[in-house]
Amino acid sequence: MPPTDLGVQLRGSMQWGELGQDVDYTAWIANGPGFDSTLPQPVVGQTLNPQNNIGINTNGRALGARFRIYPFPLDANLGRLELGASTYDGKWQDSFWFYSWGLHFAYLNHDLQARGEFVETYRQMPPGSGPDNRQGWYIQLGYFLRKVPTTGNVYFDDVIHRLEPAVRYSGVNQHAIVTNEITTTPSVGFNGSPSIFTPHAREVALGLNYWIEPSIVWQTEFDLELPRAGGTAFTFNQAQALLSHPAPTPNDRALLTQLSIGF
Amino acid sequence: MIPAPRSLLVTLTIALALASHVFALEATPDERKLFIEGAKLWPVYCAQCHNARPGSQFSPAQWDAITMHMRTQSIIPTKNMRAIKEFLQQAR
Repeated sequence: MPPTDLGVQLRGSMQWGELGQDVDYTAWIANGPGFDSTLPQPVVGQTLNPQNNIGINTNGRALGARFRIYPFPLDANLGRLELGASTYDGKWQDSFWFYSWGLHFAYLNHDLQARGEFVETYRQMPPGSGPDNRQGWYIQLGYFLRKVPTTGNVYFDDVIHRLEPAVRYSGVNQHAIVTNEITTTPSVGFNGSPSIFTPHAREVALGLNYWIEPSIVWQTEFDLELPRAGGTAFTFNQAQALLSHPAPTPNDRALLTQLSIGF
Repeated sequence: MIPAPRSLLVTLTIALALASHVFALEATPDERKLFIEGAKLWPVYCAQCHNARPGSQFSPAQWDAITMHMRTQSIIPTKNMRAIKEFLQQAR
């Protein structure tokens, strides 16, 4: 779904069992999904428009919903498990459907945290073009070093106890990518996902979080793109869409760092 | 006679300890139950998204605003957030 949108949202929650056993829901209606309208024609593999604010891309509306359940009672000491499902559906260009749905989990047990998600999308295409289906997923593990034995050096211990190493494996399956949409220039809504560079991206990320404050974290990760082949690349030469089949992607590496401030 | 700074610190510590004791004694059974539930919920619910902040970090009035904000962000059931707020405001 787009990271920004304009619409109306309804949400609520309740405890359905013992302490810690909750459910919550979120449902909303917002601007319809859109795709890059600067390309001469719609093709398989286009990315969903990242911004969807007051610049309404279609006259239709999108419907979204998320449901979460927490099955473990707090007193069972099994940790906090969250299971959820979500969907985002609407028509693009007022006539073609775009469906998406996802399943996710998150688990926290003392200093261990794990989370993951599987998402699938279906984009109905104009006559003459096959459907645009995709799947993507990730799983991530992290561990807070709060209980690492102290060394006696107050400053060193303070740094170590604020660290959280993490590892993530992610991947995407899609029929094609559009080379005209590939950009490496950071901007608002910039999508640096490996899925815009290759149809079947697989990535291993090794991360290190440094918690400056409870809601301020400096995050650094080293990404390893695993070699993959398959899929199609579309390139527009003016109005003409050219097809090519990319060779196995190289084992690219990237070092990313960011400061996240929560409010 | 004006107490020396060290004496003042001791006096304040005793006063705070007495205040907590008074809460424990004066709290109704419902308030005590809410406090205990909040003590259980606080480290787990808050730590789902960020490190849990201690009650001593903000004033009771600030916790009013913070818990209202965080309830909106996290969609925690009202009853549970009330327990967390009770714990954070009293555990000072």
